Amino acid sequence: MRRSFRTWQAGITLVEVMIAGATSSVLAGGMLLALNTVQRSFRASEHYVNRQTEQLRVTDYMALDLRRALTVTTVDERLRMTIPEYYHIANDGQKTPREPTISRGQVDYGSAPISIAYYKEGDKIYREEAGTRLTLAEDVEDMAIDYEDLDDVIEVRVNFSPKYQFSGATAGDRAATTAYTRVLLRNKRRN
Amino acid sequence: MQTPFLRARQSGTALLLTLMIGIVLAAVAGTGFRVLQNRYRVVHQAASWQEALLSAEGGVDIALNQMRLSLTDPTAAWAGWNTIDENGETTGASPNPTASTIKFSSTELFRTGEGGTQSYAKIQVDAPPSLRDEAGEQWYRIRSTGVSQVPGGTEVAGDKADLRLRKLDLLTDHRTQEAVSSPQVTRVIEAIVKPVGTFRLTLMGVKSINLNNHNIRTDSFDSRYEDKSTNGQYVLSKAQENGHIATNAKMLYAGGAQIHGTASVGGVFTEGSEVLKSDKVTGGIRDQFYQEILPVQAPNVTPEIGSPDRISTGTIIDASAGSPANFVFSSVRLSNDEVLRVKGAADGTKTYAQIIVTGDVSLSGKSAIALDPGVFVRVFVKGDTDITGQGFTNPMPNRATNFQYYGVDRPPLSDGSEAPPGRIKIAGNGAFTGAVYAPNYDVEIKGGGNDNSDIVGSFTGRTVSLTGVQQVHYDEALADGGLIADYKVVSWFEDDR
Repeated sequence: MRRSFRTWQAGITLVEVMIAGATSSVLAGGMLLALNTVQRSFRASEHYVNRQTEQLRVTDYMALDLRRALTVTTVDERLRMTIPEYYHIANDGQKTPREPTISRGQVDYGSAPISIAYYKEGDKIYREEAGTRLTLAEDVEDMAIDYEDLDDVIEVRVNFSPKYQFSGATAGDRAATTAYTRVLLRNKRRN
Repeated sequence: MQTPFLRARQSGTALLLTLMIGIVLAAVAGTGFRVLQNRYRVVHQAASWQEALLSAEGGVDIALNQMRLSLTDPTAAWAGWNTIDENGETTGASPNPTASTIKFSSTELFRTGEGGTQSYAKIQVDAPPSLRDEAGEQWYRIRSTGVSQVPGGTEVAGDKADLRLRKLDLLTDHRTQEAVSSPQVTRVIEAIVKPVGTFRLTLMGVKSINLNNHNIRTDSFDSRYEDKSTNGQYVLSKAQENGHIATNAKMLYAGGAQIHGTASVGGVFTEGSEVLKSDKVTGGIRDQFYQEILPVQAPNVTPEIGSPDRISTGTIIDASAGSPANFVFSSVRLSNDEVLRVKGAADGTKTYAQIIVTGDVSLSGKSAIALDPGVFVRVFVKGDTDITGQGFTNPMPNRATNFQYYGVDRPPLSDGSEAPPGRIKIAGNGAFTGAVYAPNYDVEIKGGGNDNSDIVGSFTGRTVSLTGVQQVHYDEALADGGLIADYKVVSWFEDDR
């Protein structure tokens, strides 16, 4: 009985309790820090992937319209274009293609080309067709779009600010996120 | 007794703890997997959507290729295509897009894409009546549907805006409402294709172009439109900058001439292609030019009854409305004031004639081939041409398209070698209005010393050389006239319904 009691007493000396407590605190602190870092990393990765998805969506929308554009301008940080009035829209909203006609050696659909604009306003990116806005991406304040008019080719560049650095992203970090698309204008420009 | 009991309790707690940690870890892994799988689907669905566009554009190219084949080998064109009637049913009729809608499903485009899926195109070609231009030429409509299968099952992924853009057909085809055997995405392109005539450039020399006078000027106008001409005639104040010159060869000698258009050569500048003396070329110089040359064959026709075999003293032949009147001469040799008159309708309405000359054409002095107003003539010459003096008379309101002169390709020699090039020489003509297409002939145009010679038209030859002082005004209406040499896409629209 005595031996057993002595053994039990030896396991709970004050020094051991203090060491165990300190070690546990260090380990717990390390784990919390690691958890926080992993969480930040996860959020940064998720942000990065979301932005890439949004880049893909925005550039795909623009490329689709640019390919069929008749006129294109890239002023005031807006991409503006007109596309043929290809659809006849019935009262119930049903769209049917118009019959093409020839006028002055050019193919026309309808008589009034449709205006389309792409732009960023606040933290959203919009596609506006004949006055109706469609939100392409939300909560994208860190996203930037610029355009280059190369005559029969339009280049669209989209980048964002990644969140991996504690101190914030540098210009180089932002540039490294750039996704761009070069679209050949299929129709002869009319502007 | 107590010790085993305590051990058992401690063991149970550890198991529970392990299970709980395992569940938490599995939940974390599962969430991560779901997130990853969603991203994976977004990427693959976007990739399939892009592949569908490639397939659709490939379908347009397949149709365009068949249209081009119909120019050089009509019997081989449209092989494998089907005719569909007004009810959408396939018929056994020979495919002819001018007569009815024809369709094709492209096995050529079957390919393995991302995730082991396939892409292909379904193509339709027709000729709507609304696509007939002012010159009466039929344009064509190609509708190509690119179909690409989508990997990753029947689950949607991505934002609403992604789905609105890509319109995946996971269970049913959203265009036809028919069930699909596997998830797919489709994209539809409507391309309008127009025929391109032989007279596309002001001067085109297959082997060379040589301009020997800095007073030579090329520019353009369009006789169809009042803002680019006056009463269909060239005026300097409305001149356009499409007086292009080009060669398939590497070298072009612009001779300091005033080229109000581009000067183009084949090959690449860095590999030795060059435009010499190009200081007055306003539209810039370009390399990597190539224009396919249309073989020129004389039409196989039966001459009009009673028409002469050869012309040497001047005579009158009658053009006809509708189908052209056909004349075959072994040669045309006129001198002094002899005139071969191509007579048209008294009221100047459109009439047509084709003249096939199996030998040489020689005109000198005041002799001429003269067209009445409203007459359209195509002359096919197998021999050489030597024009001095008056030459050709193509009076107002006739345009350059009214007089088309073709140099017929010569068969190979008996030993199989290439026949020597023919020769077309036009000299001393004050006001030529017409177009020459003779890609196997050396074309020489001699202008005057001091007086400007106004030429309205287009010249294509094996070699083209201009000397003397002269102005060549390209009538842009010529691009839509002449024999059809090619087809090109002039309108492109993606139907994103």
